Amino acid sequence: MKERWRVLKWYLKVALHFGKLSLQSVMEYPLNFASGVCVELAYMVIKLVYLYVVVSTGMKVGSLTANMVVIFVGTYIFMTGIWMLLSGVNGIPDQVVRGDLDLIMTKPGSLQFLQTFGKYNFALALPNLAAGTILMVVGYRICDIPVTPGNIAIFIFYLLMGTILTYSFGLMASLLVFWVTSLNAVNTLYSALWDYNNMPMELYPKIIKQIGTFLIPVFLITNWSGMAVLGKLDVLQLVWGIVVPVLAFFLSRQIWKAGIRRYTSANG
Amino acid sequence: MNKYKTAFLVGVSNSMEFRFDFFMNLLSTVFPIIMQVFIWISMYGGNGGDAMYGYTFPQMILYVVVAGAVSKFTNTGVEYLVNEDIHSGGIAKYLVRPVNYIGFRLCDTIGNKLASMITMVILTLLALLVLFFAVDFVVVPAAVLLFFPSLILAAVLNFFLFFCLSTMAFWLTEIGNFFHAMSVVIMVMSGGVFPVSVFGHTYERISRFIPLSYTINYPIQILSGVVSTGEAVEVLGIQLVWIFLLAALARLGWHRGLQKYVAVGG
Repeated sequence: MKERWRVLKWYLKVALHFGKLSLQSVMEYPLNFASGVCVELAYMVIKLVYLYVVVSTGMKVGSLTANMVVIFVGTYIFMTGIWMLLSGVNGIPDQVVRGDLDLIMTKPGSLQFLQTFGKYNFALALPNLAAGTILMVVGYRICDIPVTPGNIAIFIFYLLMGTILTYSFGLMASLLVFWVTSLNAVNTLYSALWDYNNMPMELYPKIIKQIGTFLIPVFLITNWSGMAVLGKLDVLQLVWGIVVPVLAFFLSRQIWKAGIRRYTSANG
Repeated sequence: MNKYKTAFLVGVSNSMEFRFDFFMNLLSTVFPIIMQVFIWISMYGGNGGDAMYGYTFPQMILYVVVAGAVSKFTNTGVEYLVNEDIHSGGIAKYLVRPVNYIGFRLCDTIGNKLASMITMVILTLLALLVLFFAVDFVVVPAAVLLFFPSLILAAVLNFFLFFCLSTMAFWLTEIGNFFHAMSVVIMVMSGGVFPVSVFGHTYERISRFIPLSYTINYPIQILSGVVSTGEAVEVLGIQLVWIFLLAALARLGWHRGLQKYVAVGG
């Protein structure tokens, strides 16, 4: 147990160091950083336009009031920030095609860890993380949700589950590069599916809700934390929100191992 | 004239080479449309079905169904090509050839758009058919006939708008991300996500005097019958005026930029 704790601490230290290096390298070219922030802000305009329409008309989304929708849009923007932050995951296709995994393989530590947590894109992540956090806090307050340790813990817990799902789904999508040559179409489709979370799942008819919850469980990423804290999930759904991230993480790990076995460094 | 015809044919060939990506992109536009359709179903349901933002329910559904495809169609991506040519030194080869660069790029873009145009015609007719059977929505034939010319003019207008922006690459080095950000903002302001009227009366009034809404908002208003036939013809005229103005501006920017251009790359 002590040995595992020591290893975990080492990985945490390395992850923090990678984060520091990524921040330093991005600050070396502040104009690039600023232009990256501008791009993300532009995309945020689209996300916020949806929220503007809902709030300005005071429409109800299923059983959710316009104020409640603010929490869900905030969570969606925050999770987009997490997705953008993990540029190591999103960069796998390029690394594999160029044969750049060779060098990382020679380093001590888990290859999956070094590749997926070796680089962070702060320019694209920070605007989303900041705006998402603000919207979540504002939404929480205007909905008059009691600020109790229990409520905050359950909200943060399902945010963490959403983060694990974001990592696992992103990884699985990127790992397809071991089997197909071009991932452009896959990335386009995955991004489009991701954007379904721009609005709470309550907006959609039953069939889409079920597909997004059980078949391709993208709705769990941004809906569960808000639904849990608003008391809109039953026990089975709460358990489902834990089982799916664990299974997705396990599956992504297995796909990673299978993919690495196929890696030939042909373009190195 | 043959050289411009060749540029056009190369554009057609390029667009068909990546047809799988093209159809995947088209499919990716369907997802946000589905989301928007449900937003408006929810809003009009809560509103008792009255007109909102100047659109009846079927008109709004037609707008969101067609807007994604129209914004993809009118988006030419010329700014990235010009930026690449300027910064890689690639325009040097055009300068020594007996060819007008702007004309060459325009023909290439139109060629690229030919396959998309055929898809657009099919998609629009399909959307109209579905709306007819789903909500008894009938469009005036004149609206359909005026929509396609306005769509072509919108693409040309967008080409010159972004060509003007792209000439900034003569003065700025790292401008790729700026183009990206601008294209997203321009798409939203042109009505590519929601009709311009959603952003309030003030912006709606301003939008009549700037070229942006003539690339997406007005062509779809013509199709959905929000504007009358007479107003639609007026829109076509305004699009032409903007094309001439922006073409002149693009030419001016191009010549000014060339005076500063130094072919050190490529």
